[in-house]
Amino acid sequence: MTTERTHTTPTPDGPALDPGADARPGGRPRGLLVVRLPRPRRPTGTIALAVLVGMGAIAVAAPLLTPFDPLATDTSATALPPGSPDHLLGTDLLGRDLLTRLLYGARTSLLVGLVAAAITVLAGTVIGALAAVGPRRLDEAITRVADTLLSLPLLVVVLALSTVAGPSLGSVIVAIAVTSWMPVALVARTALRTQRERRYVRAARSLGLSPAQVLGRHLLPGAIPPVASIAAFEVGHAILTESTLSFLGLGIPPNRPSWGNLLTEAQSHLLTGQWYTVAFPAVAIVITIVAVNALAATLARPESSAW
Amino acid sequence: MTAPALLTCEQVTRVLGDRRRRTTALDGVDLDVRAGESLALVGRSGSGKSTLVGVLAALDRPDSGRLLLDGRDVWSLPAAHRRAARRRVGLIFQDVASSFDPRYPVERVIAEGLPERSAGDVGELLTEVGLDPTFAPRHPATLSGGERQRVALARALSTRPALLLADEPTTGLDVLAQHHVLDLVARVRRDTGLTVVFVTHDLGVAARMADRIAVLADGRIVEQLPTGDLRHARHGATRELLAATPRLLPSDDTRHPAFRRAGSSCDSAGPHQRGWHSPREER
Amino acid sequence: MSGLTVRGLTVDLPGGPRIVNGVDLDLAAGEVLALVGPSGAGKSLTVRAIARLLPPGARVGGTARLNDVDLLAVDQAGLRRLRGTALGCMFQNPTAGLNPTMTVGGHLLETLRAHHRLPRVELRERGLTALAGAGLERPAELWQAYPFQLSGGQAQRVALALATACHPAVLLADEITTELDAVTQAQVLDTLRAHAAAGRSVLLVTHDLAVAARWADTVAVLEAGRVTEHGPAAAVLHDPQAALTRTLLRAAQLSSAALS
Repeated sequence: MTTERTHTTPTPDGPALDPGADARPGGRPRGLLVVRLPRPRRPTGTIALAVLVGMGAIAVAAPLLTPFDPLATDTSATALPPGSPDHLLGTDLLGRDLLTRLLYGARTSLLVGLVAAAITVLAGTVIGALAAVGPRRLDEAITRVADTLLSLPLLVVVLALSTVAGPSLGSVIVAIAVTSWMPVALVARTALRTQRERRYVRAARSLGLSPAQVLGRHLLPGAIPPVASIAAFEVGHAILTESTLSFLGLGIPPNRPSWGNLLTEAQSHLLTGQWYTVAFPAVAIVITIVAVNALAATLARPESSAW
Repeated sequence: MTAPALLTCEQVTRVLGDRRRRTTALDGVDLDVRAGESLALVGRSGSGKSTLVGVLAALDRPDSGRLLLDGRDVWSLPAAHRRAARRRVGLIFQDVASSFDPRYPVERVIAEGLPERSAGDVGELLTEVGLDPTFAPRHPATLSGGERQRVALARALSTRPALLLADEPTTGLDVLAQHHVLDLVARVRRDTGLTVVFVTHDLGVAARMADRIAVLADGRIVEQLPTGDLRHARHGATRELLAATPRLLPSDDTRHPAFRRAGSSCDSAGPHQRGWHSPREER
Repeated sequence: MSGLTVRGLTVDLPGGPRIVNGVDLDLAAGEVLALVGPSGAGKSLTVRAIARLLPPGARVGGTARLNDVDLLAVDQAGLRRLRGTALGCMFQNPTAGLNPTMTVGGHLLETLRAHHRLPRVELRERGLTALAGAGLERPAELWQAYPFQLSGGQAQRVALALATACHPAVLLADEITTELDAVTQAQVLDTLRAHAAAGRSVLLVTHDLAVAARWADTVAVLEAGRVTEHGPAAAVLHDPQAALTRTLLRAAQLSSAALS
């Protein structure tokens, strides 16, 4: 059962040890990144994902779902209760359709949440990776900065940043990212460091893989489940923070509805008995956060069974 | 005229541990591995075998001394050249199961070292180690110990190395599986002229597979001899191993008088033996 | 002390397969019986069945008589009495069986206290004697050691001390030297033989035929859950009757012969 194989016994000078000799068999292995996105396996995760995707779809399709302008006032239709003809969720004191405002608000809130979370997770993962595989000094510096920032009351920092930068979509996103990257970085760092101790990482090195290849093929895939989990959590966190900022008047300015500033406006409605102006955006926020956290919980379990 | 040295350790020293407790795992190791030979590195636990494997595979840098591959100092090369050097040494790990990334099936594991991953190459390697190509999509966790060992061998051979370094390849396998693995390595060596280095504590395995045996004790090579000269070994460490290794046939079993001594027989507390030592003994 | 007689032992694992399929063994006082065979044959399960240490849901059949008591039929209270005083066990990974937060002395006291109502000083004396009997020098100092501080050989000797502390008639040893190097293996097994010489029966499970050749009086070969060969070590290992035994011997021969 022998196969024909040319085996070159080394000459006294030795074969060239340069990495450019890819033409020979036994040349440099190619290929950098193997990333498999974990898919939620449990029904909870699938339901949560469906809910979020559904909300996203509805938010995107907002103009198609409602004829009203979220900012247009209508003095002939003020303070209508939910269930009124033409106004499914009623109107507020200025006659603005609440369903429309909720849908357009979803656009803003989800957009801010996703974008802020994306930036947070990207920045956090990169920083965590640098700490995990970079020189010791860098690791120490990064962990120290992260720990210090974590010990600050974040809402205060966010408020301060927003006050300085002025309320706007951009400043909200930046404020959230700047104050939320730390947990992601620390999780990524720990996950990568754990992976690095594994024997199969040593095996990959023994095959001549470069640090980048080892990172892409073994370290990152192993780190994805915990990072994905915290990433999902960060989305919820971003949405909640945006809502808080907007509610306090430091987030999205009122020229654009968001769930947060819907709540701000709703405050004055409580005294006149229009509880539903608060209920709908609040429920929307709660559903989103619950769905996001459920998704995060299922992503935390690694997809493939280990030994 | 002896063959040229393929791999050489020159006064290799490696110290393990942190500030609080350091052990000199390798204490000036000088070793030549000649092209085409089959060499066994034998030693007790704590002798430094595992550490030496890491150095020979060019994975761990010695604290002093040099590792020469084809006459070149591996650690003075640029990183990319050193990686190419690593590919010339195929390594089989002691705990084979943990050396596989559990996410990947056999074909990915074997193909990791191949430049262009082709099903044909993987199939060829599987056949070479006596596994059916249908093993390719399976996960290592579903394989038996012997089968995993073969996959590890296939992976080690995938880079077409000049030298195969096998760290305790028979530990954890039963007699039949051990026999199959050793038989396989012997066959690969016969067919390709591959240089093989076995690292083992089992003198029987060493004697069966190797032309030459180097004995490691307390981080140093204390004796090197052709396998046929084992019974004339002179160093205490070698003789101790020889006496302790049981044989099947009583006529071969010369029990060393040391093992019939009356009274307690505890683990020999050599300076580098791990274990509990009373605080008074601390060096 | 009389020995162990096993008749018709069967073990069914939860969920189906019958791994041990009618095993008969006879172990006299002072005898070392090596149970050999390829992996998967059921050697470990046989030992665990006798010691009643199988996973829940496993079903055991047959008898294992020790001093006229059927170990497999005795109730929980009786089993607790027998463990340690009639039967001692040792397994492949000694550290796994030790509590990492308890010292060696702590382990011995716990074992001894379970069977003897004696003052602590007296128990400690017995514990130290057990450690010395397991071949450990300076047992008084080792008394304070934690499992993580022990080498493989020391841990296995501590396990031996624990298994013999209450002077059982039978010792079950399952692959106890597989993770040890040759010199340590020889030391541990020599000590085990010394216990046999003092009258204990020892059932030694091993896949290494050379170990059986040197340290066992009798050998039983287990294949697919049945004993296919059973006799004096010299006879079985030099003049095997069963095909599997011959195969195992041929494989083992290569290493042994190379050493001659």
